[in-house]
Amino acid sequence: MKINDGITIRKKTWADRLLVILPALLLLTLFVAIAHGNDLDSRLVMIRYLLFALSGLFAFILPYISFPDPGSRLYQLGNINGKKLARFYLVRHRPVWSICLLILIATAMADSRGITEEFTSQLLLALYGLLFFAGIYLYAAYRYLNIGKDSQEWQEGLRGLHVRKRLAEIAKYPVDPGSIPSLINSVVISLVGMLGVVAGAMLYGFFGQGAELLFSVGMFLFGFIKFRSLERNADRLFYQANAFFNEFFGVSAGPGSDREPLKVDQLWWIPGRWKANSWGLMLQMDRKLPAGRYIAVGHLFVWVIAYQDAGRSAMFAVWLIFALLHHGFLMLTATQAIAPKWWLRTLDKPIHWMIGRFWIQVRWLLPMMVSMMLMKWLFGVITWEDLNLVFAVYLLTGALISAIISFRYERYWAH
Amino acid sequence: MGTLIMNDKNLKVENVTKQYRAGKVVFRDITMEFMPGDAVLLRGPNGSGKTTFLKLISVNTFPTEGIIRYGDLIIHDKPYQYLKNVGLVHDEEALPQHMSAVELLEWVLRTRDIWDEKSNDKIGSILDHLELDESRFDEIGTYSTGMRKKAQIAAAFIINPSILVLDEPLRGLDQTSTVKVKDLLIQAVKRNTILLMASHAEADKNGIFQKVMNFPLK
Repeated sequence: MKINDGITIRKKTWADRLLVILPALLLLTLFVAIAHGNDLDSRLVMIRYLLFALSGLFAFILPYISFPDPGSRLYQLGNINGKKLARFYLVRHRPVWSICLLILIATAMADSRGITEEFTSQLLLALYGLLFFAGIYLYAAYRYLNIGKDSQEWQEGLRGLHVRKRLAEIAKYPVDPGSIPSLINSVVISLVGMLGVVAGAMLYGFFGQGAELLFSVGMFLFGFIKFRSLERNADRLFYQANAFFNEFFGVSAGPGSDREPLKVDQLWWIPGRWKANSWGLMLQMDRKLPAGRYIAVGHLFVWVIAYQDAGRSAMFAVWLIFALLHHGFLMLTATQAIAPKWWLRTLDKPIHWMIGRFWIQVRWLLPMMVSMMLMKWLFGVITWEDLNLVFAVYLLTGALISAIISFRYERYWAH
Repeated sequence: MGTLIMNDKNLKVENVTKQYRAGKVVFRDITMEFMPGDAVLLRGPNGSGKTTFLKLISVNTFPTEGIIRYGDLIIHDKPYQYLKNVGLVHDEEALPQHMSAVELLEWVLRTRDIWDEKSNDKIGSILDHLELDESRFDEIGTYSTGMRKKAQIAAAFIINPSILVLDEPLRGLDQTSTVKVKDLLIQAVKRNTILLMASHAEADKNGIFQKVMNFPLK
């Protein structure tokens, strides 16, 4: 992590770089392959669907990749000012937003006739995607940097206690009240992004491409101004959000309800040799966040897009993104909180941790298979070929990420 | 040890309650005041709230209710302004692995914009005092536990803080180094620094602390 003037807390290893570069290359290749051969109008529609999906992604992913910030203690030693803290906060998301920017550019510019053909139109299309995306990302960053105070009030105050009791009684749903502002953020950011895409498309229908591009400029300015408005108090907002999520993911982690913890015997699909490894990781992951519920919402989201009569290429792209997003949960097992180095080293070899992690990801394969086959049967919008390719990419990337995470400390142990 | 800046502000804890979730109270409605030159030892069993208290003072956690003032400044409203005055030894260190102790201290002074022509001597002086010898030029990643602790302590003291917040600063230090750190603590208190330190070692109390806060707080 780069702090200031080239100073790093920990030098990036080849594994850290591969964790970003490989998925980026894979996604880039896939999106070039999908967009290639489609005309400008089809690619514009693809970009709209992508923006739809990315709005949903950034609506919930930011707190998980922002907080707690491992550099916060060093920031205090150097007493970094609010403006720089706000910048570091954005830089922490760079591996994710830079991949998104690349995908949008690839989709806009991957013309089978060559990049020089209708270059200006391709450039404007790319500009539309980038500006809109930057706007919605900055808006999401604004809302999540601003969330500490509300979240703490919900978590520690009386209204949170009442909500916890009511939800436990009525829905048997183990919600931590501190997560309610994050849930509200997810809904608001998704709505702003999705309605923005629809509004832009309507403007295109009435006034042409220029109007939609102008709308994306507006979206960018909206996000930019919102985020800039926080800079004056960014030190307080950063420390409060960081403190809250540090406590939320740590001290007060877990739903604190009557929900039974995961038992080893429930992992029927995992071979015995790796059951304990997978269980140790899954038990902690499930306490940190209800992955199954997020996956269910994700499926719902994909179905909403399919219901909008999205084309085959767009749906294939959406399924691919969704499949790859599943690996975000796997990344939790790369954190020191869930899998500290000494724990990994003491208990098993990296190869077995890798296989254990891979089996964790296999749990999402069946729901994905059912959902895709149902969609194929009902809408006919995807083919067997798409289905097989999505599964292949999902399993291969799952194995790859598991390997990178599991072997990344090999060099460290050698010292 | 550089310019002598006399601290003249009190640190006031006003009706502070901290709970990590409703009903899970760490301490309730505490009010206290620390004067310049106060040296306070925080004592108590594991999980009794010492670290939470120090996290409140170092703006690493926020009160559920109440406020903490340093002079007129509400510390959780203006962390950057407040932390200019604070030297910290955190419970868990996160030092840059690929910097030397000398470079770390230079970075701290430059980032805080308090680097001057005497800074090099100041860095040399504090590292000499802590007996971090030729290894001071090696990368922190190669340090032993005690050496890392010394680097942390030096980073807290190098800014001549008005408030020192130290969570188990003597853990991992040998006897000679412990004496050296205690010297630094005594000098700091003489400069009117407010010293708040959590420690399990009974011996840490001798000769430095005028007050003891027993946790859990009633």
